[in-house]
Amino acid sequence: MENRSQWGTRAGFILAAVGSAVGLGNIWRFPYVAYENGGGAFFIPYLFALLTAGIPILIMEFTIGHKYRGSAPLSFFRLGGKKTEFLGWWGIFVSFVISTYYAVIIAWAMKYTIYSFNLQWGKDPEGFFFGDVLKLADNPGDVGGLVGGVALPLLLVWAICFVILLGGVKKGIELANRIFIPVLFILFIFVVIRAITLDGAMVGLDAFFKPDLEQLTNPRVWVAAYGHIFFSLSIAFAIMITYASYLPKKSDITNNAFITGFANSSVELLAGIGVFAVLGFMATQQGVDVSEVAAAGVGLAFVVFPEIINQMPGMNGIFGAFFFLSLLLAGITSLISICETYIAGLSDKFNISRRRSVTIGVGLSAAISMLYATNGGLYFLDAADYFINQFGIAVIGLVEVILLAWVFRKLGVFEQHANAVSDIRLGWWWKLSLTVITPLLLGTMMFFLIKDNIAENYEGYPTSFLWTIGWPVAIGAFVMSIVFTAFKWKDNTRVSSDYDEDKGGL
Amino acid sequence: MDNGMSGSAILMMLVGVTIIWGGLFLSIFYATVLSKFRKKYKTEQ
Repeated sequence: MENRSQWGTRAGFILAAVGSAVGLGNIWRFPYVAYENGGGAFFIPYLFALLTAGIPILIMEFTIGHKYRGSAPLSFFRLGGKKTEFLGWWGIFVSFVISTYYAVIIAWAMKYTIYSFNLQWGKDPEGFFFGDVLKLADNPGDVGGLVGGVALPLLLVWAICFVILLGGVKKGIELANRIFIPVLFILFIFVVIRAITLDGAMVGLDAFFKPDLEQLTNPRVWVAAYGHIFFSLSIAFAIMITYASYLPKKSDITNNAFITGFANSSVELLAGIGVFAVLGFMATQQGVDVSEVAAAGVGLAFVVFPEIINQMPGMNGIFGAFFFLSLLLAGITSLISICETYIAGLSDKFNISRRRSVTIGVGLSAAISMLYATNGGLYFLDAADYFINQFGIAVIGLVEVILLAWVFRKLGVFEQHANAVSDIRLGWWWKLSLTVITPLLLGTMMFFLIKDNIAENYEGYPTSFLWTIGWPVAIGAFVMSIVFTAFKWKDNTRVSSDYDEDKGGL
Repeated sequence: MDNGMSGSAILMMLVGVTIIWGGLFLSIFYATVLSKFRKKYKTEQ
């Protein structure tokens, strides 16, 4: 009988799941997506997506992990043998790719936390970031040399990650999240309070919340809402299955999923208020419209925010340090969850110790991440991020839901299991969401995605460049999942013990 | 430049805050208070 690690407390599990879901995307993606897709009106498709896709899939993944009590590949193997095992490996390889570039962004945030104290970016934050920090190459595809100023903090990020993961589930991941998440919350509350007290903050909030109700008839707005919920909740790339596999047998599933989903959205809403309050301040200072300063992603965090910090009337350094420290903590808690997927998968499949699995997994990911610390790193990061998210996570989500709901017809089994241990009982809405609404919306999303990518190369990058890093990471994750599924399980007792056999159907 | 928030923006902010933060509060309240009360009631029955 295996001796599987477990969370110490229910709060420990919830904090770890929230820590995983709350990442960089909550802070720098959600505010802009909402603003671009109808402002306040976006909350309608967003909430609809949360309740008909985000939380239902979260419940399904928590149930799979809790019922089959293994890493994603082991859980899927126990569920349907080799025919479904590949789904677990697919998620793991997507996680692996994400971890390689995610760590680099955390390393930038680490540098900027220190830079904030004396506003080291000076009067030209854009030139400072792309020139002095990244030493960015002129053309996509040029690798150039290793940038020491990025590689060193990157190594530090990996060292922190290594120590936390080596500590195991309870004394490593749970302990880190018990410290980092409350600190992140306090820091972020400070950032938001300072933001909304700035001159012009209300102009930004008006731009963020003002509803453009006509947008509700635009199918792309609904697709954007589903897409965002999907990427934001850490679903469909093995994380939540892995985390739920460490739950004790008598653990609530459904309400834990509701808490995780709503906590993630709460942070996003808070981020939207904070980000648009400071954008309103910047627009007011420059006498322009908010639309002219609104931005997302790397540009928002490392160019626009330093510009805003420069213009603030007081507490500039501390505001900047708290903002970048928030990014750092949100990133680290997500990165450890991403790495845990392949650490658990390697350990289960090849029957190796956790120490060995952490060393191999983190070591390999750290080595590959050095590609993003080169002069051409930002171009590689941008393309890898787009393709692995759009053609990795979104496709896995669609395949996972179709296979489990329609081909293997497992929703009845999952419902029975979740209801047996949870306070809130699952009903018709859960099955309807997973059998009809989610596949339909994700299918539509794929249609638009393929159409857009056929019409135009992503960001206008040359086709040769996209075939160097973009498509290969997305296709490679799937190919590797088939290769790893073909390997034999090293320890058969681990495969067959300590989980509930299926009873029932859809 | 107008420095205030429009009525429709305030309304959407209240809707978002009420549903999302309210949902979080209710689910935590259910997990910490109501479920214990329910279990106690079932045991007594």
